[in-house]
Amino acid sequence: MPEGAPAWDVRYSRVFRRQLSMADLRPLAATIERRIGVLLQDPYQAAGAERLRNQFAGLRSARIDRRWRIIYRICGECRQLGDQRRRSLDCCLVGGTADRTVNILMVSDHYSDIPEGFEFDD
Amino acid sequence: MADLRTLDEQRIDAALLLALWSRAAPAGSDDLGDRLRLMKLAYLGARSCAERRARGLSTSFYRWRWGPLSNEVYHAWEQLAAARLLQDDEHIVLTEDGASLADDFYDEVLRSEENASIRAALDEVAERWRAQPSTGAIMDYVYSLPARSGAGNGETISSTALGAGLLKPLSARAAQSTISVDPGWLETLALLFNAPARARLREAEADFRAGRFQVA
Repeated sequence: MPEGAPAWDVRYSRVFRRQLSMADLRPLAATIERRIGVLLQDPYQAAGAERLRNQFAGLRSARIDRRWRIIYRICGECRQLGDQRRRSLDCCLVGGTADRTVNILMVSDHYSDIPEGFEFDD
Repeated sequence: MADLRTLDEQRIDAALLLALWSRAAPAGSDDLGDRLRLMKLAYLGARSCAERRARGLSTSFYRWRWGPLSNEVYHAWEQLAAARLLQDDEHIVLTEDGASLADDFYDEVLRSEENASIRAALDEVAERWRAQPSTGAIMDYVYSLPARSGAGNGETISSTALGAGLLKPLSARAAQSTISVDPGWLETLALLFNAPARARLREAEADFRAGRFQVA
């Protein structure tokens, strides 16, 4: 995070919390926490962050490793680009969050054909 | 037979085929036609790309009872129907989400400069057959084609033996261009074609709307 930049607020869905205790992700819990730390240095660009398209506009994905992704949303981006018109969270409906809020929705398996052990570094 | 395509290639094939079929439908219609027509459009699209030495679709075709057939196209149908982009019945119908994806994929991926030859190949097929929605016309045309582009031995698809290979994906060495899809689109397709993940996403969004979240 650039020196002097305010920290990001983070909110986690219940789905995400539940996923961390599931068998296939439990061994990755520490890695996921670490990747979220990297992501929060710059949620727009860190950890291979990508803005999703079409029906998922407003969501972003960030890499945990070659296989797994964190799916999240940034309040400031959502407001600026009007993404809440397509997909909404509580903050889109009633406000109450700072623009520098990251909403962690879930972990998603994007490349299940890739063997375990391939790590992504950045 | 094992599918040798990578997951990205499988997903790109499905999106490319959706864009092709959508653009080959009569204007304003969500009826894409029957499976025979769509399989022939896929073959003509793959053949048109190969003639331009452009690797777009990663599908293989062989001669079967009703002409060129690709197992990968069947797989694309399954993926597209599972993602509710198509309704797969006697006639295949494009859903609202499917039309939106086909348009966005065409505008944001195929319109890029590096994909110009793939776009031209698919446009050529779509424009020709948009005006001729009957399955019979496209079947007759495909049967009359040389079995392989440039083959001068008189063998047509009609006279090719059942089971014989007709078209394979271009190798990286033979291709002069390969489809380019940016990482944001690859991530989008990965989520789109993952039904459990889509269901989990809906649940996670509902968590926030219902106040079921934890602040760090």
